[in-house]
Amino acid sequence: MFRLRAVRKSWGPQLAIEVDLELARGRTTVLLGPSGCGKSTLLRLCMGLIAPDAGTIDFDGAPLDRGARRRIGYVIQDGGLFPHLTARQNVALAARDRPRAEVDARITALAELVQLPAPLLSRHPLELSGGQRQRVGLMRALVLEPEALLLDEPFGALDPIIRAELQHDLKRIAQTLRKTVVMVTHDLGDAATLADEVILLRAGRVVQRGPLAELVRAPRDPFVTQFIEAQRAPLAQLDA
Amino acid sequence: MTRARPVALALAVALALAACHGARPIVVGSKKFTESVVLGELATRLLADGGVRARHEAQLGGTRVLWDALTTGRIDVYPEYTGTLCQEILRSACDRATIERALAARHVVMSPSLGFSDGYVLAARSDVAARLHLGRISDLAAHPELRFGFSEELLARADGWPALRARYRLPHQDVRGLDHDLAWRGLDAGTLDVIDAYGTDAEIRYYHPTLLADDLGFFTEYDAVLLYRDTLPPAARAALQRLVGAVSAADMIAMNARAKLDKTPEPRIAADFLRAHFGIAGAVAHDGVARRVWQRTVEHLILVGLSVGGAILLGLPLGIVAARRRRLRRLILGSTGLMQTIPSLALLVFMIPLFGIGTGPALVALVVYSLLPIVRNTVAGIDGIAPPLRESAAALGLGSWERLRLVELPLAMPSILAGIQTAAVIAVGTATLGALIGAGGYGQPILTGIRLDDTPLILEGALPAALLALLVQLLFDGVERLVVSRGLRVRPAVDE
Repeated sequence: MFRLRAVRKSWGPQLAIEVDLELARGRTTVLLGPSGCGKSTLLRLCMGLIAPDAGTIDFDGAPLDRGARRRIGYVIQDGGLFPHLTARQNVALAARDRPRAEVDARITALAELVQLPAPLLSRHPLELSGGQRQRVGLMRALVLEPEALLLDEPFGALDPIIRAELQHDLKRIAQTLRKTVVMVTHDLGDAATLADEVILLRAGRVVQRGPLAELVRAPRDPFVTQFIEAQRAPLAQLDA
Repeated sequence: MTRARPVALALAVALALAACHGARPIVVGSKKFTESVVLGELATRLLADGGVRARHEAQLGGTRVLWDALTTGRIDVYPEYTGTLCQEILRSACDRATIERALAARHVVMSPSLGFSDGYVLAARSDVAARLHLGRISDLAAHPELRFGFSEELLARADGWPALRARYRLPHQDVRGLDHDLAWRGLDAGTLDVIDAYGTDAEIRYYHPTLLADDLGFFTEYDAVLLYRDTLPPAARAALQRLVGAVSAADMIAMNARAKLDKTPEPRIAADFLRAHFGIAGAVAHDGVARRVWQRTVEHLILVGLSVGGAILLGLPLGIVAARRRRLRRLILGSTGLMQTIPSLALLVFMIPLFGIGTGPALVALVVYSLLPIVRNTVAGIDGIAPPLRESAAALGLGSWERLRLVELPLAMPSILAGIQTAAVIAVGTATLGALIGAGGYGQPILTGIRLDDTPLILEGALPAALLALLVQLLFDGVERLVVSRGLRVRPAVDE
């Protein structure tokens, strides 16, 4: 679905990302790694929000352009909702060139899909909770029925219980709609729940790629073990 | 066809001339001191009595303002003094022939003397003069501790204070420039010892200063005359001619004193003078306070409303461009900021050669003054939009114009509105200065009140102005509810 050929992006002298990879259609890929590893930069390159210094990015076999971008849904932390618009207006803004009735019907269906109570649609973002905002953000990303869904730390601002709930909802949605999902996180729980495949990044480069279980079982680099153990250790201590 | 053409042309010219003649009244201007206003009023009433439609633009400003207005045709007549003409305006010799020649080159005609001369005199506090035995200007040289308060005009002119000081070898350092009316009050209060005055000042009789003899013959004669454009129709010239030689120095001092000390309005004084000397019965409009304040309010609201409206139309696009184009930002913010630093009085006077007198130039000056808060707050409002929201707008594929209309402006609206509010409140205050160039408004009674030392009259302008500023504040609270999304005004919900 996404084909990144010899893509390279730097911020000044600092290399942000240097990759060559393909992300398969219909699968959920989780980009993992510590802060500053380039995973968000990679996602924004896929969305076309920034241009690579070198290399090319194809979406569905064609160069990424504004038209292609309308076939990709994008969700950021806290939903990225516009505070001056209601939840419904936020979603409708993404589908501003579609007929009103079609958009209304679509919003009703999506609210059901993401399990957002209909009365909340007339509220403004500041009148919603963090989890509710994230569900509206998801609706906005899905309203144009995109083929791919890019999520940047979508659960970053949520408490663990809501986070787990949304993880399962997202998994259900991804399976129901058969979307290509690319998600950035630093949380192993997100990866464990959602990922068909994990790409672990460090300093802008891919360290290891594969199912999460494979990274745990056969780490290709001490960093892989280190990254996974850092999140498992606190609970492991309790077991011991 | 060919024969008809010259006839048609002649007819058109004749019609145009008739239209010009009929459409536009003769405009008489006057400077912002009582005597000039009275003379302007006399001239206007004599024109009317002669069957010429005439209008008086009273207290327009200083010499430069009136002269520019006359030579550019914004006014047709104004009272002037020969000394001012040769020394300040023409910078020529002071004999009548030289002045008239120089004026003719500028299409201006000077009337013979109106009957009195109003030259500069130096006036000292009488108690100070008695104590130090001051009788002549030469006597001042021995007392460098004396405090002088001179009109800006005398201070600025090359042949004014600097030449006077050189001629009389005066050692004084403590020389303050201030408004002529304030100088009299300073002299009265004892904060000044010597001021400059005019020979027909009403205050001479009121404050009883000692007039110092010009023993070296420094000051030029200042014969009062009327200046008018050479295009003035014969009927108007004939009407103005009646004023020649008709006003004696004693008449003028008496009229000045009536205006200043008895608070008699200039139209009344002029009407009384004309009745006594020419047997002309002239009506004087009597407006009640409520009616006056209402008229000033309308004028003031027009000044503030139009100027802030203009500043929004100009400032909003400038702010948007500045927010989006880094390179232009410094230029736009720098130049609007620079304009803000021009003193408002100076800005108003700069407007005269460009836009003339009246409401127009005052509006331009007010727009210039209202720009900075609007531009700055527009930039700040758009700059303040959080990066995630910008990214969201880009991810939704919003074009530049859609992004501006649907996202940036609504989000920046609270800041933009605050800028407009600031501009409007400032404009309410600054618009009072518009009266200096004939724009009317609350500044009119303030200006006249200062000139006549009439506190109730000053308050008649100052109180409504303060009230209006408060109302503007309240109005904007209401406007905010209308144009700022509720989503930007609600308190955040408690998170889950």
